Amino acid sequence: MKTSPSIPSQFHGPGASIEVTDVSKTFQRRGEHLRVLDRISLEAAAGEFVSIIGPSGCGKSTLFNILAGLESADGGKVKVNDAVATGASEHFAYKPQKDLLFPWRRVLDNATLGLEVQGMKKKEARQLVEPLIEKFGLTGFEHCYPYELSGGMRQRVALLRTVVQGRQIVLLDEPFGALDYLTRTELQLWLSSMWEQFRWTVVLVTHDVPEALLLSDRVYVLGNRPANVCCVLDVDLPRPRGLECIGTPRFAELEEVLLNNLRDPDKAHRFTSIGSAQSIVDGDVDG
Amino acid sequence: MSLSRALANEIEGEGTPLDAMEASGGVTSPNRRSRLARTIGTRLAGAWPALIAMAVLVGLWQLIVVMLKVDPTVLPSPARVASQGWINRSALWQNTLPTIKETLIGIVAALVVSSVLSAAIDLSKPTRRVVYPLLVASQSIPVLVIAPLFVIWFGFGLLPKILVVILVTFFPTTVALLEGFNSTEPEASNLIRSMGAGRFKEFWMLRVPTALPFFFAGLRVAVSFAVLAAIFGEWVGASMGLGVYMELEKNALRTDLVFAAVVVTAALSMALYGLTFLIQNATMPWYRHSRQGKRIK
Ligand SMILES: Nc1ncnc2c1ncn2[C@@H]1O[C@H](COP(=O)(O)OP(=O)(O)OP(=O)(O)O)[C@@H](O)[C@H]1O
Ligand SMILES: [Mg+2]
Repeated sequence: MKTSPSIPSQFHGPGASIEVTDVSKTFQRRGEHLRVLDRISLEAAAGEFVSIIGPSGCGKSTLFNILAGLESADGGKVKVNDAVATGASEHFAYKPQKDLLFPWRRVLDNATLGLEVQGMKKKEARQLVEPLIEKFGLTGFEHCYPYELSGGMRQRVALLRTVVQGRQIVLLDEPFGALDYLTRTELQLWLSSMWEQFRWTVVLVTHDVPEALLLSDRVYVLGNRPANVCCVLDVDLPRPRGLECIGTPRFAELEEVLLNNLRDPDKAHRFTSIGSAQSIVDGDVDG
Repeated sequence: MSLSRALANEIEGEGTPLDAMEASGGVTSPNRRSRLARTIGTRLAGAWPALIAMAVLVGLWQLIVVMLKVDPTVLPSPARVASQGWINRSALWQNTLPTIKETLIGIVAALVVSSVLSAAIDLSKPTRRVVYPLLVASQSIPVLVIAPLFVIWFGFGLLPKILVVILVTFFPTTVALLEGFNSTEPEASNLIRSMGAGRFKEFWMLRVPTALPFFFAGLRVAVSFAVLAAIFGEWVGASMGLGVYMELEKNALRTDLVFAAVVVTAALSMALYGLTFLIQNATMPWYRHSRQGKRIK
């Protein structure tokens, strides 16, 4: 594998560990109470890739907004590297659901947005980001405006903008949700290889079960609103994971466990706790 | 590594929407020059019907005046307006200059006023509550009444005319800017705040660029009133300017020269209007191109 010494070290992991404990959130809407998050707990060690998967509208984006300090939690704690960090956004690089590229900024300038916001000079920020352009498959498009890009490229620019902020934990909210199957799969494989090189701490929200399995060390399944963690699944597929990984029997087994938990989260809550979800699968493998 | 190479290949193969546009249009020359030429070409082609209609109208006017032998103090023929205007060009030009000056200074001052006002209103809620009603109230002052008062207060110089121009033009741009700021996507605000931007950075890096297309729409409304406002200001009381010139020539029964001044006025307004497009394209290249892409698709 080619090493790129020119890539600044601040872009490399392994970031920080994160621990979310009993975070709850209720929205007030015209006098009504909408309970969205119900004591959510999850964690990721430094350099780990964890995914959150759950039905639409269960509060995944809300959880990210809380972590990024855009929304306040009603209760619970967020710890980064074992220090309380509730409502502190400076640890997180957040990629919202939409790509939200600024149409008046060229690709390179969109990528440096976070650095410029942090007060870095434009020129300096560009120099810092340029070595990553190639890795993100954007060579030759640095000076294009976003309207000239395909959907997949837009997402790569948005991801680049996220990771160059040099923050300790990367939050990705359905980064590939709006893409076609082929582009999505390509980007998933690409993200997997990027993560293996850089080892950021990543929390990924997705609806896509294979995506969660392909990328993560651990998957958290959320139930219907008010959302609680109804299943935790350790993904023990060997790395590096490529396309061939999707065809393995182990992958199919894990996929089935996740699908069953997603289809009937209440039942899952009753029958599969953290340990048993794994033991069921393990048992199948042994038998 | 092979993966990223494969990706790069795939990307190169994709091309840009513009290339796709060229291909679908069946035009083979891919350079920017020809694209620009084509744009101008289509613009001109679009203007032909209007030009022909105008020529027909002017022709009819000429015909009627000549055939019916209309008294030129009642209705001069277009040919007479043109020739007399040309003969009196130095007087016309000397009176046009102050009008241009008042209009431009007035617009620039109005832009400063509306930028400051809209920024203050957007950045602070209390300002919004205090200033917005006053803003709307200012628009209900009849210019007919206030313009003569300006002359009484500030004399016959440039200032009262500039004030009339400001009064008429600052409102559309202010409202357009406010609408523009408000059209910022909440998700984009969240994004830039999650990066650590405070209110001012968010305003400058996100809300201002978002508002630009709205601003130019407002500016076009404003400039289409601006020349008229300056002329009205002159008409109420001045020593020089197109407003004064028209008034004097009307009293001297030189209807042809009044018409000539009207033509100059119209030309000024159109030039200003066109100028807003030039400035817009220079400040927002991304906007024109993205719009073009959309139109052709
Ligand atoms: N600011 C808000 N005020 C009131 N209700 C809100 C607010 N933000 C989100 N909600 C509600 O909270 C619920 C969860 O929203 P959220 O966007 O977190 O869902 P999600 O899990 O990300 O869904 P999706 O997978 O479709 O993106 C929704 O029912 C939404 O209507
Ligand atoms: Mg969401």
